[in-house]
Amino acid sequence: MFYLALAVSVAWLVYFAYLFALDLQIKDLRRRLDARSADSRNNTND
Amino acid sequence: MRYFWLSFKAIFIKDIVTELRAKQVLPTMIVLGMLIVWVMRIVSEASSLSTQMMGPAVLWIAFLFSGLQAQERAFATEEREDCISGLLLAPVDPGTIYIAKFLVNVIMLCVFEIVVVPVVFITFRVGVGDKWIEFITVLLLGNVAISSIGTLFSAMVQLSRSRGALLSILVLVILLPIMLPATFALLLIFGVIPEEFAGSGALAFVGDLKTALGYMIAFDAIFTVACWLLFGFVVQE
Amino acid sequence: MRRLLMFITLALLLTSTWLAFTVGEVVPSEDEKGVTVEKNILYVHVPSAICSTLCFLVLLLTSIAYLVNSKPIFDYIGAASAEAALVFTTVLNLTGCIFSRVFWGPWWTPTPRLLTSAILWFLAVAYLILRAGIQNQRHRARLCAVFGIIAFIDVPMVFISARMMRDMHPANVGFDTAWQGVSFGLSVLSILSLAALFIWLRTDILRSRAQLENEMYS
Repeated sequence: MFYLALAVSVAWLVYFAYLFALDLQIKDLRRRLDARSADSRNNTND
Repeated sequence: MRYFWLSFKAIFIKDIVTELRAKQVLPTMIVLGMLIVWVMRIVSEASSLSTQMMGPAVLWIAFLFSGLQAQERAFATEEREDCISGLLLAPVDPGTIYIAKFLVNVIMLCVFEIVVVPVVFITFRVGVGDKWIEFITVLLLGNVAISSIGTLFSAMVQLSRSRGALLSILVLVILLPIMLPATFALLLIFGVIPEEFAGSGALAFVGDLKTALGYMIAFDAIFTVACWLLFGFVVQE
Repeated sequence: MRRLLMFITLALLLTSTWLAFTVGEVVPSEDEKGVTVEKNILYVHVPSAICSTLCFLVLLLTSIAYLVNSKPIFDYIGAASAEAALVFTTVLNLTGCIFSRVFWGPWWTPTPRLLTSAILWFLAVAYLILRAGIQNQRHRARLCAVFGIIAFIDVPMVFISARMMRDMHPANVGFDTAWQGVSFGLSVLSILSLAALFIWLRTDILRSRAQLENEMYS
């Protein structure tokens, strides 16, 4: 039982670490998209 | 068919003549192989490992790491002088290029083995009793395995930044499964493990020489055909 | 649509874990050698194995599709699937080590199961290293597709070769009660949906990033 708990926690840790890494990448993408749209908005308002 | 022979002979002879003139890769391979054998001998002596058991393992380790030198050679010079464009512009089937370079690699590995295998015999006190045919078969099968994969990956790796390291990683990973039966086959051939033990449950390795050889033949056949077919995709623009 | 998948995944994961701990618990039984067999760990280990092999299969299919077709979406799905394969083989290796520690003592030993897990992990890593080493997008996609096909051809060779090593302990998997079957099925489903989620998210990230960079440089 203890080893099952250990295995489950290890597995969940790995999965959540990967999801966290994916989330970081999504945040970065969103930041770049926002910067790009802000940039183009500023450009078109000239 | 005649066309295949013409183009094949052209590339084949070109590579061999280049190597004979430059004398670059083959001496490096041989010296590297011998050095690896010596390092392993010293290490195994320092840690009091059984030298006879280490013999086959060391042979394959030296073979792998020196064999990578040969694989690198296959396309390294082409990229440097941009011969690869010349090769592709000529109306040569990519499969022919692959077979020619593959055979050059096999032959270079054979020459390497002629020099380094006696060194292993001497330093690790192993010998082939009467199983010469099986021994040469196993060595040839190993040559074909590393050459088939190495030629394809060498072409692949030319397009990347770090060529040598990447090639080593890719080839070693794919060759991992064949190392088990290969080492076991050599252990049996050298007589380090008595014949009766093979095939019984007494060893860590289950199966006997026939199984190991059968696996290596299957591995070689499958990968040679697959790499030959995929080579066209690698060199197309 | 993606939020739905996320919700389903989370629900499945929680349910299967809860079930595995309570109802589906395999009572440690005595083996012939008098060693207590702790089979519960298979609830995490086996689904990861199934999933990682499936990810390699997806990699093969998208690689073939890319070589035939040259649409970049296949390249993105392949790369996402290789990353998912890496995640699942990592879990496979770690749980396999725990399994080996419980059963046989050492953390790792050259038995078929642990050998195949290790080599599969290296295959996924090699694909990702190849991917990181090539800058040009079209070259990268093509070469990774070729490597994906070779890697998948290697997988059955790994299985057969590792089978040549002596198996120290033949694990007998059978279900005692129906609830165990249910909880096992649920855990497989949950890991499958987790894999689908990983691949979907990562594919979207890759595609958006490629779009961004194309627009930046064009």
